[in-house]
Amino acid sequence: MNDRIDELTETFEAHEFLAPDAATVLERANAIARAYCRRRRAARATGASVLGAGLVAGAVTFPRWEWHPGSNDEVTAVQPASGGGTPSASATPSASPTASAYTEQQELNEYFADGYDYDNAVALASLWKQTDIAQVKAAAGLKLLEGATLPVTPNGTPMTAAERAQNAFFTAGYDYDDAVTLGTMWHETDIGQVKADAGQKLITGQALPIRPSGPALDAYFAAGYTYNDAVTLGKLWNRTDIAQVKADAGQKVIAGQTLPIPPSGPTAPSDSASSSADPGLAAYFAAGYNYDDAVTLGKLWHETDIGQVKSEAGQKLLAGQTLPIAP
Amino acid sequence: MQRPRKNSGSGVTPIAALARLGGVTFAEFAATRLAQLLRYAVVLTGDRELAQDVVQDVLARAQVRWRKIASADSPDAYVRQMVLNEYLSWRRRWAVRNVRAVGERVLELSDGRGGSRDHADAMADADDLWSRLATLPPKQRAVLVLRYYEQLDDDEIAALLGCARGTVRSNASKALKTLRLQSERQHITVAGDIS
Repeated sequence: MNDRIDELTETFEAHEFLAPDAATVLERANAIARAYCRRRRAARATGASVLGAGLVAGAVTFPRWEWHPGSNDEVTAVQPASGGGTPSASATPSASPTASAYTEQQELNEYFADGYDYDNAVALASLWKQTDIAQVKAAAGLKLLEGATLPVTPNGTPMTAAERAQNAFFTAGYDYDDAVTLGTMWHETDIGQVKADAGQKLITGQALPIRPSGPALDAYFAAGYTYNDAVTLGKLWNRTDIAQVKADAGQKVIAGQTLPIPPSGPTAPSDSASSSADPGLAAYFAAGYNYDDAVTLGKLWHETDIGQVKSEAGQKLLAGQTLPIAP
Repeated sequence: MQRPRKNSGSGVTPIAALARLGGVTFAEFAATRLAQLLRYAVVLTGDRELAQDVVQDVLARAQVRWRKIASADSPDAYVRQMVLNEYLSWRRRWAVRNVRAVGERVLELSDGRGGSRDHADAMADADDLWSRLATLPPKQRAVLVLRYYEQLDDDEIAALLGCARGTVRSNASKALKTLRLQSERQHITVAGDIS
């Protein structure tokens, strides 16, 4: 018997070599962490201050496939047992992959925009016999989007139209610097108004004339470049707008181009090496896409090699094309 | 023979190793623990891409809340639990199912060889068993990894998974049966009893 069990142990150990490259993983983790922080700031700026890092990440990055009874962001003794927490259909809203035409981000936006908060979600979770507050908020947001009412009264005040627009602006990955750029293009000096106008366009499905600088900045910092590097680059390029210099430099990094100075950040050498090895892959992750998205794209493209899917998707992004799914 | 635990480092007890991690920065943690964490993740998930995605997402969240994690009794155990939770989480179920479907196809191909397994070829055996492992539900696979790779006892596994010890044993039993390891053991036991 022990021989058979040893065979199992040996099989595990024999496949340790499949472990991914640590430098690549760390680089991407750093980029994702920066994106989390940016989204947290954006969420706070628009009144959704109760969002946690994991929730922001989940809300923006992950597709919502099914109801889940437990959160994996906090380490607790409670684990989501396979199928054990599936609610009854009558007690809870549907949350199947194909049940909603909305993204989880849209559902959360609607939830907070209507004045509901964390405490409301706790009350709803109790009513619906759920434990995952994050998913309760998304499910409640879906109901609101579908015109239903919730069985609790919102603790907060619903957002105004301008606040909703600003929320849409930030959650799409744009930031203050982007608003300044748009204000220059639109000859509008009131940056708050620019954000509201831009957000309104996004809500109505219109495209903005610039891409969000978030992914470019993520790539810039992930490559090990710093603010001081941007100042140096600004001098080389005869530019005084340091924010724009960082965004432009980040775009060059994503495109696999070499900047005229080496990064001065501590993580620069190994990190930049792996991203420059496959610019498509770097662009894919910098744009906010993840493994689950690659799996979805693989199904759409009938491609089973997920690594290849990510690379090809990144190449499309670099070529200015739009992917069939949002990050 | 009792094998050393994977998460303790060579020649260092788990408690000592974890105590040494007290007050470490995220960068120090990544520098000293990431490679081991990735090996754990790839064994846990059975898929290189999925392991990478799980660990990078976990590290990103860990980085954001590192102050809290660093103040935990064992940051290493905390992060490993995050990896385990992420693997078992709802977000991953669809992806895991997809990966498992691929594993099932591999298994079908190996079964198509007519059952003539070459026991002299240890690597082929390991690959075959690796393919069979891919057909297990995530929780059953996790139990086997924690028991036979991490060398944890059932009480420790139960604490990690937030379930009863009996549930751990039940999952392990089902998994071994699926892998055709336990059925053979039972067969040997029965044959021994008869003789």
